[in-house]
Amino acid sequence: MASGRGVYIRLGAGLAVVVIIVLIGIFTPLVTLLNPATGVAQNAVDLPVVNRQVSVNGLTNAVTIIQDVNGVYHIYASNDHDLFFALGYIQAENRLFQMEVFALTGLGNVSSMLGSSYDSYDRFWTTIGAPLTAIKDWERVLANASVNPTDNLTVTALEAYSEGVNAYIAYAEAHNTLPIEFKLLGFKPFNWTPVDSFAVQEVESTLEFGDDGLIFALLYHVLGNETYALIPTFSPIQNYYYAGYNGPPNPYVLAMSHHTYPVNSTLAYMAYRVAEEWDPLRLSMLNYFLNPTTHSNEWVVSGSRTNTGYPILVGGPVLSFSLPAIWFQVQLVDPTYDVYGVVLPGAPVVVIGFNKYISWTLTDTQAISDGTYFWDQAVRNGEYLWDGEWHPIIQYHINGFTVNWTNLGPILYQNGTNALVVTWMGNAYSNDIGALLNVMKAKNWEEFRSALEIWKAPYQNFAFEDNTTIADISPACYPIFNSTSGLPYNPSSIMPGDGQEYIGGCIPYNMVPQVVNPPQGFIVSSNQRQVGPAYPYWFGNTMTPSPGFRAFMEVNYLETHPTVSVQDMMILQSNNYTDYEAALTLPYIIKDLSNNTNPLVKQALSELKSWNYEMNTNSTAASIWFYTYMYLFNDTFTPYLYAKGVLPAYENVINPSGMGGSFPGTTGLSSMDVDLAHIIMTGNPSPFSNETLSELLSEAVVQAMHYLTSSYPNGNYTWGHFYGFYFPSLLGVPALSVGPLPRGGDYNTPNDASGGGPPSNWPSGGQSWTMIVPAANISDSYGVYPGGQSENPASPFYSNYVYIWIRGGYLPLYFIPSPTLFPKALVKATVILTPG
Amino acid sequence: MAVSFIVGVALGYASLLSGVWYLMMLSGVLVGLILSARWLYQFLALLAAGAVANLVYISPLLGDGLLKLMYDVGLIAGINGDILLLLMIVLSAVMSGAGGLVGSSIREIARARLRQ
Repeated sequence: MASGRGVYIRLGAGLAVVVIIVLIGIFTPLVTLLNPATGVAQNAVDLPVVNRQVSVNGLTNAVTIIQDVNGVYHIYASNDHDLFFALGYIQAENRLFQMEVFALTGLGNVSSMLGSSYDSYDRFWTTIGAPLTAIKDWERVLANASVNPTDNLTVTALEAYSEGVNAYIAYAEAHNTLPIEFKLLGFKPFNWTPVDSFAVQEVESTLEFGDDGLIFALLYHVLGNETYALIPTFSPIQNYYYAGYNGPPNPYVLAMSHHTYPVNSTLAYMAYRVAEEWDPLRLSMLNYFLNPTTHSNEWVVSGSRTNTGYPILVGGPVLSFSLPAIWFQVQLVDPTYDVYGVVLPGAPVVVIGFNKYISWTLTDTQAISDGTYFWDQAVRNGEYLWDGEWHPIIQYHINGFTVNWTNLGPILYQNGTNALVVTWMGNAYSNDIGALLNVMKAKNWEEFRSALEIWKAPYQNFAFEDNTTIADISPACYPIFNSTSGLPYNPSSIMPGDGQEYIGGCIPYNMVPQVVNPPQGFIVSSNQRQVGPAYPYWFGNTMTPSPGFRAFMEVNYLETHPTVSVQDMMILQSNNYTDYEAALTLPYIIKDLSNNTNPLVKQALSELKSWNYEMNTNSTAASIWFYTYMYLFNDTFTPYLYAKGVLPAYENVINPSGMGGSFPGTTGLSSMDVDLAHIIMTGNPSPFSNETLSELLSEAVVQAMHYLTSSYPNGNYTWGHFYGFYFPSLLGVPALSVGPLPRGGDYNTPNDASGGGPPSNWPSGGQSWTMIVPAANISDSYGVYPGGQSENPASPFYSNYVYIWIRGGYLPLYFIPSPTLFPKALVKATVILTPG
Repeated sequence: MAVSFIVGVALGYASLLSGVWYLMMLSGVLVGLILSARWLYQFLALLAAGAVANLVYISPLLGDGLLKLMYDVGLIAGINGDILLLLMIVLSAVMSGAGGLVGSSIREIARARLRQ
């Protein structure tokens, strides 16, 4: 028998341990996380990919979902409601955490999940208007649904999709299989609503958000009219405009582009403060779209130039990388739809893809791609001035922030009685979801074009093919700026917000850039300016996002290859690393340096002379080219910017380097890459440098060779040491990221992204989906994205596609019209969703 | 001791089925209250029972990819995944054992009072 005292000691010890464990459970997530029944261990249940049947409340009929051997989901339903319900369910099953992050981003409320370090991020999204617009867009669609078939379809799709997502959330909660991220964060997923899908649309619309107008204003404040030399309205090099309008510049447009509103110190200060806080590079942490160095590729070739006699369409949208990837691959089949492609997390529409009749893809537009316009508006005591009268500022309180709106948009910054106001085209009402729902079932160009007429933002080029037609169109609300006092001020900079200048409407739909079956038999719209200088509407300048060399390379290839095949297109898209800017300018460089006696220059020339302009991983000439170009860029422009006072005053927001900002910690200004190419071709660095081109080139080559030979004294400075790609995990966990992995290419190749040098500066963005669709047989389409279908890092489908993408490979896209026709050998698993 | 172990495994497993992990403590308390044994042996038996109940419960998940999953969770959390798994098992054991200590102590105190 134990002593009396001993038993009380044992009792106390036992109770103490109990209390300690309970306190650990209260004050830390450890007990919740490690609970064998409800914690992260239970997520292992979802890892095996097996046949299963799930009973789900909300379905009207059974839905068959086949996951093919590549992880793609093929959804077969008997009506639209069940189709989108099932899409919501299966996408949530694979990507719920990503979806909620995305939605919270657009709602300006990421900090509710990820903590107060995202307050600045949320403030940005809230201030520019994303959450408000998401709500208003949905309310408007809902209000119009009874009279507008597209809005009605949108309501059906979004409500069913939301039901499906929520059905998965309920299932996962009941079975303790919510994604591990929620368990780790202690965050309960919110129930999905259509507003969340519109919030995702707002996130996509940040393809049309940039601070170019502020940067231009700062430059103009310092450089005055010399800004037009640095940022020309029209490229001195480009001569291919997919929608035409070659010829001399429209005088009205040119005059307007050179009529910049004076930028005084107050305005410059406000512009700098806003740009410094909200430069897209700083805000791109969770946003696949906001990285300003992203671009895209698309081209389409008519049947007259293919080996089959039918068109081929090639799509390669360039976005930031992450694991999970931005895209989710599906095929959607019901009596209305039979469509294959990629969808965004949280929006139930195929953004890029194909159906039985057509295929399509998207790229960012050039020139006017930055659909963000800034105004200098007078404010006082809660009012703003417009047309000589004072009007009340509308105040919104959202997410703990107070946002003030004038008639022009939200106030970004106020300094006394001056306010910097933004008109962001993402705030324009645009039912992109509805447009894409109609695109997904379009049967020909007329239906496709008609579906896109309601698309207002973001500004995208849509390439199209069917059996007989190739086309491209860039639908959007491109503002027409008018003035009550004569010539409008340059919209590329800050404009007066007192009413003298205003947006008088949008470029009519029949006048937006577009072309159908052009005589040359192909269309390329890879971020180069779509319309030439003779276009009668103001359409931006050369500032972003691309100097056009990549597009010119693609045009050049198609011009010189009269007949192409799918394999040719694969090579061009993913394995052709020709830097067209090198091809264009290197002959001039070599000629200029031909008599240079510096040994390092001679060594460099000996390699460059025999180079084929391919940025291959095993090429040393590629490395010489890259670093020569980058040093040449710096040597030409940096002293100029310092001499003029742009630097160091504004170096936090204006710190350019070549190739779209490929040096670490720098930004890109496409104009300056165009400028440099023009300087090389003309031999005249004025007004940017007092040195001769020969001097600049010699210095740049010597710097490049010094860097390369000191980094690799054995001479093995192959390009693969300086370029590749990194695929970061969404939460930024290095061990769950992939890479960096070397690959050929650079800023000017189809597989493009800025970056290079040390692996820490390798790009984490590139062609986010590479798709090739031959109209001759759509079932022989190919595609891949660098990621995987699942966001669960323990899943075999988390990052499996990366290793195919990095070597320029493709996967076949199985386009099977019904589950009974699905070859058994291609089936990984079948999920049957049955009505509960 | 063996009886305490077997009953402890059964009750521990049942507790896990409920989803309320803290019930492991209760299972230990019950065993301690009901089964008479030397307190040290019973404590050790219930420690082992808690660990075994946990292992039995998660064993189907091992084939599903539990180890890889815990490894990845550990990467996010900043703790070695194997340690996380070990911690889970240890916590189950400690809950069961601590419950047993409490239960056996209450039993002894009650018996002593009844004799008085």
